Amino acid sequence: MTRSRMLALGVLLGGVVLAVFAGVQAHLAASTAEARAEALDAAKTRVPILLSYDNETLGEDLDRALDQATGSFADDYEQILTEVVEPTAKRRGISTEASVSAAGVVSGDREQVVILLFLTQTTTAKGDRSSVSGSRVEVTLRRAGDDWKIAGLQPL
Amino acid sequence: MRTQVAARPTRVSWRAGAVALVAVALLAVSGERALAWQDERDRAAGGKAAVAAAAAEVEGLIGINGSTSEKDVAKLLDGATAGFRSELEAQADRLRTTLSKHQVVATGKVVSTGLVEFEDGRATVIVAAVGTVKNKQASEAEPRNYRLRVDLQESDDRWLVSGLEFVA
Repeated sequence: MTRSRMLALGVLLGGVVLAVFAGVQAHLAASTAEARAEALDAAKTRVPILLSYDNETLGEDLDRALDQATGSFADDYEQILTEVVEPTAKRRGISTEASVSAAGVVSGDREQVVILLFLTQTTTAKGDRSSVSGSRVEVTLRRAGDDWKIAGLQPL
Repeated sequence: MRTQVAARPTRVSWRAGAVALVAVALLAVSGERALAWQDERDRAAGGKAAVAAAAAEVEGLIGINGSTSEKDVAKLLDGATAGFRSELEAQADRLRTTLSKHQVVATGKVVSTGLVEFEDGRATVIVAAVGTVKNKQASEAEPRNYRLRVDLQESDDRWLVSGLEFVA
């Protein structure tokens, strides 16, 4: 190979390496931003479903609640729902509805994102007036296929 | 033989031209992608800076009490935009007088922050904080939970608080 050919090859290879490197980095950064935005939206939709139920449709609502969770959190949450929430809700005729008052991204990468939520929970027990309470929770969302599901919930 | 000798230089320069063209194209792609990468990094850094500014301002505010020094108040005012500063200024003085009269001791700590929006030199951050408030009548400090929404604006590479409200 002549020197000029080697030089040309070197220039082209260098160019390819540079373009691929910059392309990959830009893609990674953009997909991290996208992941955070997707997880924020998912948290706003999923957390109210996770934490709400109507006493009239308790079984259905708790199944739907559980469907928002993933991983070991889903197992733990199922245990809480069947052992504590369901019997208590049945006995005392409780319905509760959670809504998101504010939500923002705490931290996150492409696979896992933590969201801070301000929740407002309205709870009604049979024969009681409804009570409203506000709380703050950090919710961890993990990528599950094309979607994001709840992998943890930490009251603050 | 003669034609080969004559053709050789043109072939080389054609190749050199192609190589140069491809090299320029690759450089252009690299440059464009590097700018996109830089853009994302700037956004991420800006978001972090906005969140840090919001947390510092909130911590200063919920910790105000009778013994808060002029210096602490000045720091608080320094972290606010001109519009919000005058609002704060008026309240901080009144607040300090009242708090000092009732011997209120307040502490506050930020426990979590979330970036709500970030666009064109503006940001919205939510802040969860805990604190205690104690006055001369109470023997024990009362715990407080705060939920705040903070609006910020970028000015001269600094993030300043332009609005602050409690989320009911």
